[in-house]
Amino acid sequence: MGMFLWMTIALFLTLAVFSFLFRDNVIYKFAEHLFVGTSVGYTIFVSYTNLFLPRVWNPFRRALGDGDVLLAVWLGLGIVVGLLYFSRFSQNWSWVSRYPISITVGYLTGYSIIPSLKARILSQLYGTVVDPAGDSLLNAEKIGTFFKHPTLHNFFFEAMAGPLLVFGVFVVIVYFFFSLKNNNPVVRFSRNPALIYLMVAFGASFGYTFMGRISLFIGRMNFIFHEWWPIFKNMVSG
Amino acid sequence: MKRQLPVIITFIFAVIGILLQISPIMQDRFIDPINSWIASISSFAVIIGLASLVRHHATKIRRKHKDQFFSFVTFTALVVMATVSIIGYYHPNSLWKDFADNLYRHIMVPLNATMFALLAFYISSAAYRAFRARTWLAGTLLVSGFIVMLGRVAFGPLMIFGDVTNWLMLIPNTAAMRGIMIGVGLGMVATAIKIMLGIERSYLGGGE
Amino acid sequence: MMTKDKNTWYDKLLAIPKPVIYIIMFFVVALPVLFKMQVSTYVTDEVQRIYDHMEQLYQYNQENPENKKAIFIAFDYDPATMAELDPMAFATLRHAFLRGIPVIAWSGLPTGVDLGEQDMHLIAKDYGAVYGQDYVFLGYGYPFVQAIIALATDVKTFFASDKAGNDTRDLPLLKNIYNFNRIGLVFSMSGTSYPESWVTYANGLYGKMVVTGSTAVSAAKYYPFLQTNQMIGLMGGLKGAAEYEQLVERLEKELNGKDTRAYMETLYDGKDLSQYNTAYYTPEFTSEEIQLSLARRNTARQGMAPQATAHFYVIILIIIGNIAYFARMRNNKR
Repeated sequence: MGMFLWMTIALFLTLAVFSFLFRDNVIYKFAEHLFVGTSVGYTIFVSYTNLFLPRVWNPFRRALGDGDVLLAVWLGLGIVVGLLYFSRFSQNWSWVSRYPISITVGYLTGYSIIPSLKARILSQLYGTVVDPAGDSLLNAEKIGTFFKHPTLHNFFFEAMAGPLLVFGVFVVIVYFFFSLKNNNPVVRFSRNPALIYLMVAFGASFGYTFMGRISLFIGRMNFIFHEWWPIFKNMVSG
Repeated sequence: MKRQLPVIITFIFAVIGILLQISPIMQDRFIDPINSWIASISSFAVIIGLASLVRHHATKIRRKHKDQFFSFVTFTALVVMATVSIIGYYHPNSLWKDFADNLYRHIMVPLNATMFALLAFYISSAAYRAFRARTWLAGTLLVSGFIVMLGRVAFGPLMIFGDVTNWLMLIPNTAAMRGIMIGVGLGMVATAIKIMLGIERSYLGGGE
Repeated sequence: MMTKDKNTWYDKLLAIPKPVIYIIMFFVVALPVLFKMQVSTYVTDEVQRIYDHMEQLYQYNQENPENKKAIFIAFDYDPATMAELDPMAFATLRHAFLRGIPVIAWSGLPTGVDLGEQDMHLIAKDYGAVYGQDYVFLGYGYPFVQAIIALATDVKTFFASDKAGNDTRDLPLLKNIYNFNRIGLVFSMSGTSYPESWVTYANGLYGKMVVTGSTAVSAAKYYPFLQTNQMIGLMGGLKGAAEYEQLVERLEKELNGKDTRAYMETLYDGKDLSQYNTAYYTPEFTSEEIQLSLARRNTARQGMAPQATAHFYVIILIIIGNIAYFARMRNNKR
């Protein structure tokens, strides 16, 4: 009975949010504000039990308990610096909160330079020249494979895959390189092919986006028809 | 003091961040203490965000805003959720924990999930009203979208769309996304260096 | 002056009210869900590679029982995207528990912490996995970069306690497996850009193999990482979940027999129940729980039928919209 009540509350809230599709109404507003309140309340709980305790309080307590005075002082200093964030609530002293911000922003920024360069630029450029097996993407052997076994699959997935990929990356990069003038011949030549690649990619993204949105609705339908309804049926039939 | 010292601190900690990656000695000796230290400072940033939000709704109630009833709803939900969950944390085998789990599963989860499920309807309405193949490029976008939509649910006679979709995702999509990613990556690295060198200071906020 | 006739077929088509579109959309999706229609799904290379890598990890653990490797799962999602990502997470956990691969996990989003924890306990119960020995849920992995750095050295320094409040130094699993050296695969399940961050740090700095389970909205942009092997596999949206579900179900039937219900009914018979802490789950099944567990094994695949009908519906809508639009344009030109 308890489970059925909770599931019915969930059903009511689901329908309350769906009611917005017809027009904004009091029931939807209630559900929306309930959502905000529960989310923030839950985040407070997570921030206390899963952030403050394991990251701030328990390490400090553990250092004191282990007799590691140096570490305890160091962590205590971190707590003091973190508390400086609260100066944001004062108009005269809000500039003090810049100190902890500059520490975290500086550290994260510095730490991210090398990995971002490697993952987003260097590895991607490398992957445009060489495939994971170590073969060149502009590979005459693969074109030869097509001529030995001339199938559509070999043409698109073997012979032309590498050249089309390399060409596509090149024209798209040139398309977004705004430091060259528009009448530059390389820019002019690459504009239309780049647009074709971009439109195909955005079309694929649209297809995937639509798939994603529908999946979320399917999830709700699953809840109503395959979770709530069987429990309701069991209850009614006793 | 108010702006220059934070910029200098940003530079110092950025250099520390870089050194921690490239210097094995610094990694072995200092990475854990520095990491824990920065983590404990960063944790307070989340707390500040929450405090601001709570303050906003409390102000609405205090000023008797016309929507204050809904602010009451928000505030009450906030207090109940936080209190019950924290009590449940300290008494894991009690009714409080069950109540907290049920609040999460049967109030927060359906609300959160359904808010995003609305998008399925909006996207279908937008697709009908706005997606026009006015130019050949827009037509290319639409055809590509159709192929992917059919390809990802393909079965039986529609499997040709599945094969074409696989090719589309592996070649033209990869090429375009890679080009965009390299551009974004260059921008990210450039911005990070600007922040490190103090050229970019917007993270310090306005004022003196 | 000529007046325009607004009752042409194309004007009527272009003026279809939104509620009509919404109602048809509702039936197009709800009816296949209601009647549990199923369509078969084909397995893509990107998902097959995930399955193959998990099997290789299992082989490695068989050959090195004293130096077992675990998988790491980052539940970087919240209830907003759980319809797509929960089935992936379930299939991954099933595969790990079926093959005795230890699992360590955290959640990268504050509103997803309980979701990740509950998912782990739910699936662990289906295989008798013991918390602290076979799986651990650490809690909220924030700040992200510091959490990853800690995972490279010793995650216990970052998580002094796990989600349930246990001291991480006391958990048997974390005594031996506490950093990337003993983690074979990293799974990032996310609807945000967390997988990119995992590739940047876990793969870029520490060379770990990263698998992504992402919502369909984000999946298209991860293909460049697939091509360079920065990601070794990708489950994109409900389709990706359905593929992996299919592969894991085949394995489960091979290992536990075709009758999963019978397997679950006798799972805890003869076992030492004192090893199971009831704060996580009760080591017995009610008939309702077995029913829900069996249904959960099929969630993504059952979602493919309404997905297909919805796709056909929107394609038809767009075509009709364009036909009406071009007909009106041609008429206006005249």
